[in-house]
Amino acid sequence: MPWTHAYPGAIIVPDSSILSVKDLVVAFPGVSGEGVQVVRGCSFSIGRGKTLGIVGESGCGKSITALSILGLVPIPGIIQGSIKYQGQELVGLEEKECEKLRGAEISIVFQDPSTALNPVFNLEQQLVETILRHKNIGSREACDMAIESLKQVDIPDPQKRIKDYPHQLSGGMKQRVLIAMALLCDPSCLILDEPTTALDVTVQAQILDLIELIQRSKNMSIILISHDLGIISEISDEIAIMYAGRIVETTCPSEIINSHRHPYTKGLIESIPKIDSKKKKLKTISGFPPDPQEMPSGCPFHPRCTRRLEKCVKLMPPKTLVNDNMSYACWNPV
Amino acid sequence: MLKYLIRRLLLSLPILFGITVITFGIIHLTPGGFTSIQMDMNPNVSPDSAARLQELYDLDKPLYQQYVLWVSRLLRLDFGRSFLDQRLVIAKIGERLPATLLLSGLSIFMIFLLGIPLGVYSAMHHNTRRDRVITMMTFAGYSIPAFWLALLCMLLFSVILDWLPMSGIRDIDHDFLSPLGKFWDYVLHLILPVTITAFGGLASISRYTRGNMLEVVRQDYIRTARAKGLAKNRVYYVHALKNALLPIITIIGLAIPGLIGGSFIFETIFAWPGMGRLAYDAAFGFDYPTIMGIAVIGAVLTLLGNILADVLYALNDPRIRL
Ligand SMILES: Nc1ncnc2c1ncn2[C@@H]1O[C@H](COP(=O)(O)OP(=O)(O)OP(=O)(O)O)[C@@H](O)[C@H]1O
Ligand SMILES: [Mg+2]
Repeated sequence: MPWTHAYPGAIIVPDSSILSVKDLVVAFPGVSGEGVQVVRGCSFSIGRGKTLGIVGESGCGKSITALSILGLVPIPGIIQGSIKYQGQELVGLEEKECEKLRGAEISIVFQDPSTALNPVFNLEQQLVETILRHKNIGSREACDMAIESLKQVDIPDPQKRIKDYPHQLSGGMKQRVLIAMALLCDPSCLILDEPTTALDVTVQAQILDLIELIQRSKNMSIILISHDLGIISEISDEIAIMYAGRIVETTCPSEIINSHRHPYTKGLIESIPKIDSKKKKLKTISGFPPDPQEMPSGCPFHPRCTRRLEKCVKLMPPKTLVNDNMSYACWNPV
Repeated sequence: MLKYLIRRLLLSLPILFGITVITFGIIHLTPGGFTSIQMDMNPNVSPDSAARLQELYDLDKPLYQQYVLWVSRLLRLDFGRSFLDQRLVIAKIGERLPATLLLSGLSIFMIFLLGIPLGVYSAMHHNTRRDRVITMMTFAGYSIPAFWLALLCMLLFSVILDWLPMSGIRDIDHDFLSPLGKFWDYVLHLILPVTITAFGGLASISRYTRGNMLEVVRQDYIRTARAKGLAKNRVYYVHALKNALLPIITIIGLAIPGLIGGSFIFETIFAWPGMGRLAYDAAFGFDYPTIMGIAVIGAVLTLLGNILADVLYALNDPRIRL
């Protein structure tokens, strides 16, 4: 029984959710054979004005999932499953229709700010073209809007800074500019792919505060992708734990520490460093995440799992509901 | 910027000096010489008159003295007179240069005007049938010898179809035509030579552009541009192309000297009265002043082309400061 069909639409509450992803599969056809699946049946949904945090190790498919929402999975990737934005199916949507949504309804801030801005255009050019693409206003007005947006993300001296080229900005500034750019057209849904990984801790905190502030003022939904459970549980309403292209547990910040069910979640929590901890050595999850080309049979986590049963090696655990927004997929939960 | 230009120009002087020394050395060290063509096989020439001729042209002096003499004349912008017909070198170049400038200018213009969009288009449709058709055409462009294509085209368009003039730059009755007729006459005469000389370059520039574009569209900022909802054309022709142009600018700089050099092969095939012919005749006639004149102008243009490329580079890429 494939896990993805165990409880179709299990965590989807149709009316309140603005974006719902169901059984998403992203595959890259290889030179030979049917290729590799890097996202393998991922389902989640996000409510209006809410923040969903997606956590997982490097390579588990977080960025690819985010890209598939915008239809930007790199060629030759193939998307299957369903992504519904306000009832509209995005999988298989015409490119022209996708373009209208991108940047206007759904925005994304990419993982690495240092390479995400075009080096040969200044900020004004890059900001204004976004506005002109989606809004029917003059370029003077658009320029004022662009300056306003920089002010909103706390860029000092925006009138002057807007003439800068990306190489003249620090990493934190670039990240702010990218956030400003994503917010230009007041999207209803913002995807942040590791918005703080490239930044130092103080700047990290500033940016997260800024995001929360803007979210509240605009009632925007946010998908926050990170491999840092600490950041995620600080600002999310719901948390999805991703492993090897699947969501293995959904929970919420108040429950995650004490009533997590999946052994992988447990491992993640135990590997968070604590300042006041006396222990010298951090606990880690032994082994490595599986290579998408050689997925283990049964539960993909079983080779690294300390609670492994015989069953785990053979059968994929189905998603088990705890309540409306909590679920896990494990044969032998914590 | 101005400071940079002045510095670059000054830095070019030693290079120019080096180029003239080497060219001067090579042509004077080539076996044979102007006087030997005139006299070696001629039984009527006495050794005495041979020596007089050598003296007349300063060819009896040591090489370094000849060079110093030549440079001192050059500094007064005196390129000397041709050994072959005693005419001023500058005048000989002056009457050939416009034809070559016209032909190579148009050809280079065509190469970039068509080659770059063709490459972008090809990259946009990467791995589709359109891309493959363009790829096939460009490979044909590489591999078909252009002089052979020239002959085929002349046969087809001038002999069989009789649409275009076969060669030359204007018709015999050119002088009797109206201004518009004159213009049209030039256009007709230019079509074949420009197309043929642009052919190979077009293939390589479009191929080069395609390669650069495919490299650039993988970059993160292209994904950002798409994530903003920009149309595909804008993403490719504005965001990607401006980055992909950077290496192409270098090639534009390299193309500048070709602008005046002309091509001996094509100028011969199309009986085009340009620099290529002039240089060829000068080289085989040991016409030192003409060869050196062409070499100096070529060197100056090459250096200017390099500077131009650097300036264009800086204009296109804000990370480069001049
Ligand atoms: N263009 C591609 N072709 C083939 N495989 C790809 C491609 N892009 C990504 N992958 C694979 O997809 C998997 C998921 O990648 P993804 O970028 O989504 O990881 P991630 O969870 O965002 O990791 P990180 O935390 O490092 O950003 C990886 O194993 C990666 O090798
Ligand atoms: Mg990622």
